[in-house]
Formats: sequence, C-alpha cells, structure tokens
Amino acid sequence: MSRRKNFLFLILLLVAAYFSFAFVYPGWWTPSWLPKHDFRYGLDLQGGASLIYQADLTGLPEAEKGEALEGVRDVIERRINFFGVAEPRVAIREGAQQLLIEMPGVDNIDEALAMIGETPVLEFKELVEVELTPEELASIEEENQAIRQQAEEVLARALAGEDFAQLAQEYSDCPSAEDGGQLGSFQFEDMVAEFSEAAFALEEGQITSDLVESSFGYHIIKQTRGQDEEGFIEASHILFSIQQSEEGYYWQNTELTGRHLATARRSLDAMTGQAIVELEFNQEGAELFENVTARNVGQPLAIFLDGFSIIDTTGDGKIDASDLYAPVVQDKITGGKAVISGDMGAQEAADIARRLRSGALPVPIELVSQKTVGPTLGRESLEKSLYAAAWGLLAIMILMIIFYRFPGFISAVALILFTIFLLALFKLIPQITLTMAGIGGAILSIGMAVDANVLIFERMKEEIREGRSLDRAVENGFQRSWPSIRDGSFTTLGIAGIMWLFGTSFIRGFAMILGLGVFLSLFSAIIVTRLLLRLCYSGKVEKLKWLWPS
Amino acid sequence: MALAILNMFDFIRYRKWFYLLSLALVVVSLFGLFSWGLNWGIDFRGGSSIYVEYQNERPAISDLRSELNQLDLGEVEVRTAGEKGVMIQLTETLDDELRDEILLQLEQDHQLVEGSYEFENISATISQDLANKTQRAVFISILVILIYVSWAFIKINRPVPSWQYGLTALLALIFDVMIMLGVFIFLGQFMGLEINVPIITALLIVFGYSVNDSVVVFDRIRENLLKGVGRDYSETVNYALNQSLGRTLKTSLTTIVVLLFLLLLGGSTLYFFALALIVGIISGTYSSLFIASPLLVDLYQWRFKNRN
Repeated sequence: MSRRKNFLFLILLLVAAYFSFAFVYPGWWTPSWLPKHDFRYGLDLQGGASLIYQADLTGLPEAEKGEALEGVRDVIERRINFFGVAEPRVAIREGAQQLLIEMPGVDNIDEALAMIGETPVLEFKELVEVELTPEELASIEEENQAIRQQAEEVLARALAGEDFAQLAQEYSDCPSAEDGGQLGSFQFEDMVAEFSEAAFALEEGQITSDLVESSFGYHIIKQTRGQDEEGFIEASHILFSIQQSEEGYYWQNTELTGRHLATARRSLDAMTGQAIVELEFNQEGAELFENVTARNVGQPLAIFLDGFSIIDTTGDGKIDASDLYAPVVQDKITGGKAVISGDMGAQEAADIARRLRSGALPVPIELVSQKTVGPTLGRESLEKSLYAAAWGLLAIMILMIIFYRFPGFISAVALILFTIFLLALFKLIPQITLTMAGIGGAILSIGMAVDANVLIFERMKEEIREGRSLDRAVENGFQRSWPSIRDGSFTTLGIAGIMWLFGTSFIRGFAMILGLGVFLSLFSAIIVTRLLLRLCYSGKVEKLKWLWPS
Repeated sequence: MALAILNMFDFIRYRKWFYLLSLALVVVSLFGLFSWGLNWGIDFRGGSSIYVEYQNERPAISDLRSELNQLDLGEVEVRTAGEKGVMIQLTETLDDELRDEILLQLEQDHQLVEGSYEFENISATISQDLANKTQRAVFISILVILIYVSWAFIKINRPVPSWQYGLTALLALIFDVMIMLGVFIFLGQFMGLEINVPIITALLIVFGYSVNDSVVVFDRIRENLLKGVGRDYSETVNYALNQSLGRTLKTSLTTIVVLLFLLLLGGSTLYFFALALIVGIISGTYSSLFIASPLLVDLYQWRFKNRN
C-alpha cells in the first residue's frame, strides 16, 4: 500500500472512531443526527425478576405442541402487558417445553406470579339493555348521595393531614386499597380522562382539593411522584364506587365459556380466499351456542380473554379497555360449528384462533425457576465490573508499553479503538444485552485482544535480532505470526460457538460478546496496528533505537 | 542455521521431572475428588438461595445459622459473601412466605441494605436439564478441539502423525481440567466456591486458551520442521518452545492482570469466575509448555524405537 493510501485509511479510521465514541458516550461533541441508543442491561445489572415455567403438554399430539406452547406464551405476554411492566420479555426456551419470562425493574413478584399462573379465562359476552324503574333510579340516587357524603368526609380528613395510605386501606373500594391506594406509575392515557386530568395537575405530594368524579365513582387522588421525562407519574387514590344509574347497553356474560369450546383454527374461505376462523363447540357448548345465537341474531357477540378483548382492535399495539372484538351473529347456529369471517388478515385470524384455543384447552404451567435481583445490587454489580474493566484496560496498556516500547504504545492506541468499537457494537446490535457474564466476556476479550499483538511483536523482535531492517522486521512480524493468530482465533471462536449452541442464557451472553471480541481484536491487532506502524516506521521514529524492543 | 536464542531452557531434557510434578498434582486433585468431592451449586442440584447485604456490621454466621435452623428449613447453608453480604442456600425451593420469614430473621438485629438482594429458586427439572446441557457442551468442546487440531496439522505427518498433535493437546487439556477441579474442590472446602454455570463457563474458556497455547508452539514446530531447524525432532521442539516462550508468558500475564482486577474490584458475582480463569490460565500455560509439546517427543521416540 502506498503512503497516500495509508493516510486515507487512517483518516477513515479516525472518523469511524469519532462517531463510535460520540455514539457510545453522547455529549456536546455528538452530532444531533446521530441516533441515540442506550445500552441494554440484563436483569442482573438493572434488577428485576426472571421466571421459568414448565408447560405440561402431555396428551397433546406432537404436531400441536409447538402451537400450544406458542399459545401459552401469548397469554402470558398479554397478562404481563396488563400488569404494566416496562419492556417485558417472554420467550420459549428452545428444545424445552419451557417459557422464560423477564421483567426488568419488578422486584415484588408475588402479584405477578399469581397472575401468570392463573388459568386463562375465555368469555363470550352479549349486549343487554338495562332499563330502570323510577323507584330504582331514586334509590340508586339516594345511595350515591350517601357515598358522596362519606367521600367528602374522608377528603377533609386526608386534607387535614391524616395518613393517606391508612385512609385508603380503610375506605377505598379499589383493589389498590391493600397497598395503601398506590397505583404505581402510569402515563396520562393509561387512566380515564377525568382521573388523569386531576392527577397530572397536582404537585408531588399534593392531594386533590375536591372530589374527582369519573365513571367509576369518586376519587381522592394524591400524586406520590412527579412527572418524569417519559411522562410517567405515580399516584395513590381512594375510590368510592357508585351505583350505575345510567340506562343503556352493557356487555354481559353469556353462559358460554372457554370450557365449551372444543377447538378453533385459522382457515381460508373456499369461495373468497379470505382468512377465517373456524370454531367447534363440544356437545354442551353446541346447545348453549345455539341458544345464544338464536337470541342475538343481528347483534354482536364479544369475545374476551382474561377480561380484555381477544385482539387489539384499535391498532395501537396494545390491548386495553378501549379494544373490543365483537363479530355480529348472522344467523342461529346449530350443530356447534361456527365461522368468524370478515375483513381480517391472516395474522389476525391466527391470533384469534390461537387465543381461543388457549382459553379452550388451558395448558397447565408450573414455575420451575425464579430469580429476583434487587435494583441496588444490580447497579452495584454494574459499577464494580466497569471499574474493574477500566483498570484492567489501563494495566494492559502499561504492560504493552513496557514490553514493546513504541510498538507497544501503538497497540495501546489500537486497544482504545478496540474498546470504543466494541462498546459501539454493544449499543448497535439489538441482540446484545449487557449482563455480568457479558461484561466478563468483554473483559476477557480485552485480555485476549492483545494476544495477537504479542505474537506479532515477539516475532518482530526475533526478526530484528536476526539482523533484518526495521521495516522488513515489522512486515515479517505480521506475516509470519498470522498462522498462529488464525489458529488461536479459530479455537476461541469454536468454543464460543459451542457455548452458544448448548449454553444457557448466562453462557450465551458470554459467548456472544467473546466471539464479537475475537473478531474485533483481529481487526484492531492486525489491521489497525499495522497501519499505524507503517505510518511511523519510515519517519524519524525509526532512527530512535530506544523506542523499539530488542 | 544460526539461532539467535540465548539462555535457552531445555524443556526436553528436564521433561520427565515435570511429568512427575504434573502427575503428583493430578494425584492430589484425584485424592481431593474422592475424599471431598465437588461442591455443586444450586444451578446443578436444585434448591434455593438468598443473598443479602448488611448496611453496617454483619451478624455472626454461627448466630444466623442457629436462628435459621429453628425455622425447620431442611438443610441450610450460611456463609459470608463479599464484604458485607451473606449467602444462604437451601436444598428445598422456597415460597414467598418462607422467604419473608427468613428475611425477617436476617434483619432482626442488623439492618439490611435496601434493594441489595438476590433470590433464586431452581427446581430439579431445571437443574437436571442444565446438567445435561453442560455435559454435552463440555463433551462436544473436547471433540471439536481434537478434530480441529488434528486437521490444522494434517500437512505435517512427519516425523509424528498429525493426530498426535491433537492427542497431546488433549492430554494437556485433561491435565488442566484436573488441576482446575482440584482447586475448585479445595476452594469449595475452605472458601465456599460452588460449581455453577459461571465456573463451567470458565472451564470451557480455559479449554480454548490451553489449546491455543499448545497450538502456538505446534505452529512453531511446523515452521521449524519446514526450515530444517534442529538436529533432530527433540531439538526442533525445544527451539519452538523457547521461541514461543516470551509470547506465551506475556499473553498469560496480560490476561491474568485483567482478571486480577476483575477479581479484586469486580464484586462477588464474578469473583470465583475470575479466580477459576486465573487458575486455568496458569495451568494452561504450564501444560502447553511442559506437557503437550514434550509429549510429542516421547511419542516420536516411542515410534522410532518400535520401528527398529
């Protein structure tokens, strides 16, 4: 390579290093158009709970096991999403009938455990009209008036400084009463509008001065943590439920449940080629279904799983109270076989069929492993291991300079570049989650990254001793140590590959980062170091003999 | 050809002494294995663990032990972990109630650091599964290494057949495993080290490291053979060992230094992981210098003798 080409390559390398650094460690030096990413930390470093459930699929035909497991995953994912965990992960463990659930930031998992382990509930609901007699209306009105009075009294006590949590425990009709009314953190659109408007208008620690009325009843709200950057606040409330006095239509359970459904599958309409869902009820279900359809011809029949719509119908990517899936009954259906058709995609039809099945034939699951890491411990581990890595890096650089003088210094520079690039890759590759194991792998790969340099420089020393000129010695050093470097990298990559194939998540995290480190170290030790040395050995540096090892 | 190596160490001449030393170390390990056995962690045997950290002073372990024994938990192990931590392990899995009861006992007189804890429950299903997977990973690693080394040296069938390079590298590896197991047994007895997933990971890494060290010397032997360095095979090997000595020692040293920092500053999770790696790397360096390559000479001489 000519000198000009070398310089060009050096500039390219420096530009890449600058952007990598700006990406890894954002600051005023970061151009605004550069994408912003955070490191992804594993549960051991940020705290949280991970659970492994074993699914009991005995009795199912081999072909359906995969589907059934997929169904369990789907149901659990829905539940965790309702639970409001940020970035949960539910994955099927390959080769085993197991589900891995990771919930970052969740440290009290009793509640989550109870919810995940429950049997899925599939409900079919019909629309009913509620009509009230004037006497009924009057009595409801009277009752609600009494409730309002009590709410006013409690509000006065709360405003007077009485313990909010205790009041909530005593009076609140909300299930949150047990936790002193705490609702956890939520965003504006997570709650009904009247509630959010009042809660977000408060200051941290402040209590609403008036009762807040919503469709649920009267709320006394206390904001317990102010709004953060992502728009979350935390609040507690005391709820006084009121009787609904409004006439109108309500969704009411039919006698039909998941128990009556034999199976459900996605299919294609022979005529139109559209995706459809076929339902088959068992004997008892067929009769019930006949009754239900008979009295609801032309009316919608809503399908609920775990109390919420079976699929996301609003298209906002999450299932909540605003979703409703209710196909219209075309005709009375006898014989227990039904088809849901209409404008739906293949994916949607598959989702509906799978969820219907998981409600019809619940797969029993058993908790087989559980690990919870406290947030403080996680943060501590992260700090400590990063500290160790930084010192280790510094020590290696010093050792290399002592061993090999100028070339050692060059390899130290290459090592810094190696570290910056490695960190940038950690942020860039979405599959990489930093765990203790991963940091261990990264630290080890820093130690191994200099291995190639050591091989090259030792060879270079030999060549110098045998009387070769400096530039010849450098070139030979790189060339002749290549077979050893190649063989060594292969063995490490091979081991990393085996770990990846057969390992648990700890080993995998380690193997992935180690493998990445090996590749990157080849780049830094051979390409980067050679480039930097080539740029230097023809200049003044060559004449200064003390700079070179002998 | 003139060789510019001064102060050569004659690995080949003294090799029998080092064989003896190696054998003695292996015997000690085996003795420990049969008399004490390995201290398996809950990863592999199932059970539960609770780790907590104390704010100031940590209560005496013997006190904690006797208090916890009153709770009727079956077999309970209590020991210190890190500076202010306490680790409790049970052979049974724990439900929330029992765990809360234990926590209550733990913070009776001494305050715990909030949020600084770790709970783990591992049922027999999982631990059995893990043990099977691990066995497979270890077995396949060894197989792949053997095949790889034989294949890498397939071009040098003289004066020893290429598979013998694989074989001696493997023998060095077995030595490393024995040494590491010996150290694990010893640390398990006196420092509470447990064979868990991180320790197995360290073991697999040492496989790669040790073979890598042997391969670097083999590469040098191959080069020397092509150049015709040395009057006979044993001299060729000895030159190769001396030529790669600087590299082997320096690479090990740099890696060990990083691991030392991890050991001293990295916190309790990776403490034994780093320690296991340090032991393995020292052993791997030793075995590649004093076992793998010298054994090649023995295999060669044995073949030579049988032919005549």
